[in-house]
Order: sequence, then C-alpha cells, then structure tokens
Amino acid sequence: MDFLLPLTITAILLFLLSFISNKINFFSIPLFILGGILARSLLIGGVEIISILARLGLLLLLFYIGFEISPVRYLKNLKNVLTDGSTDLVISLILPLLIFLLITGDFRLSLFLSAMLYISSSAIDLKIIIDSRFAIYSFAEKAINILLFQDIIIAFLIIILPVFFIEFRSETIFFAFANIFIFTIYLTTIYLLLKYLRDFINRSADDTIIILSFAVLLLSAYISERLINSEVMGAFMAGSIIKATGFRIDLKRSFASIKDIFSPFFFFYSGLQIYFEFSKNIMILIIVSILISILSKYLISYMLYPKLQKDSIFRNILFGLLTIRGEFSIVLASISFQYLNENARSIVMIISTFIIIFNMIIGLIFIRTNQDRLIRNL
Amino acid sequence: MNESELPGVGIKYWLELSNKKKITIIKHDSGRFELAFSSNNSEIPEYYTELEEEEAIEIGTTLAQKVHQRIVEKMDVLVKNLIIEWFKVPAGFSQKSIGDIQIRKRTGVSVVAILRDKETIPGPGPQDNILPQDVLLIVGKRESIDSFKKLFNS
Repeated sequence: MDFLLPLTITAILLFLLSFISNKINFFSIPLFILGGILARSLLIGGVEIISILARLGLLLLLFYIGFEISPVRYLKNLKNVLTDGSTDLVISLILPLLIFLLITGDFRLSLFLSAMLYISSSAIDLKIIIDSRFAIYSFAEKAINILLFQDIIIAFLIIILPVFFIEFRSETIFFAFANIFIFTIYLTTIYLLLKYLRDFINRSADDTIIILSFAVLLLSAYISERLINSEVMGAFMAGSIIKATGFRIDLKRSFASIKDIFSPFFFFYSGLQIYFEFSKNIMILIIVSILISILSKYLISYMLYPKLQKDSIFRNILFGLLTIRGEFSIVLASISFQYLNENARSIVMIISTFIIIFNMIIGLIFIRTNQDRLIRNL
Repeated sequence: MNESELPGVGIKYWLELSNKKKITIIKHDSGRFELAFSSNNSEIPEYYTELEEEEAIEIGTTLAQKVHQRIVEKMDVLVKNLIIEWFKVPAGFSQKSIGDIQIRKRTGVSVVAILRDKETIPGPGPQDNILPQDVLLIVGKRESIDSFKKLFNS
C-alpha cells in the first residue's frame, strides 16, 4: 500500500470521529479506539505505516505526561493528596490485584489489569470539572487529590516496570544492572547539560528550543529502549527533565498541539490491534474487570461521603469522575505488550477497550444526572 | 482568606464571614473566575456567578480602593493635609507624557507610580507616558488632588 494512503484514510476517519464526539458531547478516545476496531479491514496492508505515527503519538503522550507531573503540585496539598490517594490505592489497585491473582494466577497480567482499572482519566476529569463548574465543591478537590496521587503511581509504574520485569537485552544480571546505571548516568548528564546551557539555549529562537526538546525526547526514548527495553520510560523522563530545566518558552503549550495530532493515531492503532476472540474465560474476566472497576470507585466515593443524604449528589458525581478511564489505561495496555505473551496482550487490550467505553458511559450518566440535581438545588 | 491549589484547574480561595456565610472564589488558570456564596453548613451555593478576568479585576480594584481610602483618611490626619490616592485615567484621555501635561507645575500633585495591566512603573519621570485606563498613585494636598482630577476629567 502507498505510504500516504493509509495515513490519509486514518486522518479523515479521525477527523470524522472527533467531529462526531463533539456533536454528541462524548469524549473522543473511546471513539478513536472503536474506529480502529471497525476500520481494520479497510486498512489491511497499511497498519505498519500507521504504527509509526502511533508510536510517535505514544512517545509524545508520555513526554507530555512527564511534563505535566511536577512534584511541586503535590507538595502544596500533600496531606490531602496522601490521605485521599492512599485510600484509593488500597481499594482500587491492591485489592483488585489480589482478586486478579486469584483468578488468573499470572502476576504480570494481574498487575497490568489492576493498574489499568486503577487509573482514572485526569485529562477528561479535569475538563469535566472545569466545564461543569464543579471546582467550587469539595468533591472536585477530593477528585483532584486522588487523580494527583494516581499520577504519582503511574509515574512510579512507568519507571519501575522495566526494572521489575527484568527482560533486558543483556545476557547477564550484571550487565542488566550496568545498563540501568548507564541510563541513570545518561539522564543525569542530559539534565545537567541542559541546565548548564539553559541561558544560552534561552537566547535561541522559539522553534530552536522546541526542536531541541523533541530531539531530547527521541534520544532519551532510543537510549532507554536500547538499555532497558522501554522507550516509553525514556519519553516520560525526557518530559520531566525538560520541565525541570526551565526553558523560557511554554513548551507544554507548544507540544500540546503536536500531541493532539499524533496521539489520536495511537488510540486508533490500539483499536486496530484488537482481535475479538471471545472465550468463556475472557468473558468472565471482562465482567469481573468491569465490576471491580465500578465497585472499587463507588466504595472510595462512599468512604469520602458516607452519611448524609444531601451528600449523595457529591458522592455520585465523585464516583462518576473516578470511574472514567481513558488515556492512561490504554497507555498501560500498550506498555504491557513488552512484558506479556500474545494471549495475555490480547486480554489486556480487549479489557482496556471495554473498560474505557463502558465506564465512560456509566461515569457520564452519573455525572450528568447528578449535575441536574445539583442545579435544581441551587 | 484561605486558599488551596487545584492543579490543572486553578486556585480555590474561601473566606468564612461573621454572618455564617462563606464566600468561595475559584481563580481558573485560564483567567476566568467563579464566585459563590453559601451558608457555613451547606456546600450548595445560595448564589453563584462567573466573572471574566476584567470584571474580577474591576471588583477587586474597587474594594481595594475603598479600603485604601480608609487608610488614606487615617494617614491624612497624621500627615496633615497630605493625601495619597489612586486615580484611574479616563478612557477618553489621549496619551501624553507627564512632562507634556506638566502635572506638578499645573496641579501641585506628584505621580508616585503608574499601574498598567500587569506592569508597574514606580517613580515615573517626565518622559513616561500616561495612557487611558492607567491607574496612577498620586500624592498632594486636597486642593491639588481636586485640581488634578479636574484636569484629567476635563
């Protein structure tokens, strides 16, 4: 297939899906994944080409997440973030991990499934909080505290997974740890170098700084891939390093538009990779996952708003916000490809798709109906 | 005023009043403001509105001016007839420098600072321009201040 044809078809489909999501007031990520599932037959022969842009989309997404996650954000509300977030961690990550371990007996698969269910979608939730005028209420603050804590956990997972599942390219443990050491040296060097040259770089034109940041992203992803078999970790760390160096231009804004172009290709490609081969076991796992993802978040919301009748509106909206999964779940599903066998990969991808679509519908229903009740109480 | 950070949204400020009411203000990163009044025992606001950045600044400036006037009134007693006041340049004023207007010569007032959007010009000289909507910090005697206002409002 010609190089440009599959990209053009995908871009047009992504435009249509984005347009529809705006018209029906629904978030675009599940539609992009669904689009990928449905368009597979249309794009036979072109999947490899789309995968290049999708890979870039994933790296940019991780770079952006690394850029977003700043320690300063947690320090200001540290006590509340730790209190609300750690309760959520126990109920929606550790407990599900144990349940999946009991069902599957596979630690890696269980870890990825529970992590996928644990992480709510910060991007979608923050948009809902702002657009729905929820910021004045305490439940919005609680939701943000939980989302911030989840950010810490996902950062920890991205960093720790390659180390945790030692699958290095090297042949001996000694060389494996030597590679981690070299990668740490690389990160430190690039950080110190950029910090040292900051004033010089800041005197350059805006586009020079953007291109330099992009080069750091690709270089870090490449080195990380070669040394510890995880390019996403390199992309994530590149975002954190660039943020810490404090270049003069708003790189978050500059990269937001590039990310917005390429990340839909990643979500779409995730859909292209899904092959539905339902067996009884997979169906059970899907149902258990959906139940866990919903019940764990309802339990958290109930613990935070336990008693009063009038609090039920806040509890329900908080539940709606926490139950929505999005970009992080699909990113984790993609990362899992490096560590799981083919059968387990397919399970993770199918479940992540179901969770994202189903939970988004449930979450939005809860938010919209309780938002109406809130408005009537005003 | 209490405050707490809402990362990704903005900053939340709240103040509990003596009449058992609570004012909550959300300053969004986008510059938009939300303002809500509620009872101390309920989170659901009795009154809620949104403000554009300019409107919030207008309200904030007015409140600050009123408070400032009270301080100035007290200072007035202390420094005998010397007034410090904020003055907002009318929208219809056409740009001129302090030297061109000859403010001190014509009115006896000194301009101590100019506030323009987010910029502050402390101790402006004769070459500094005064633009419509600038906020000026001025010092002078009561009659000088009156004559200064008359000059700008004409």
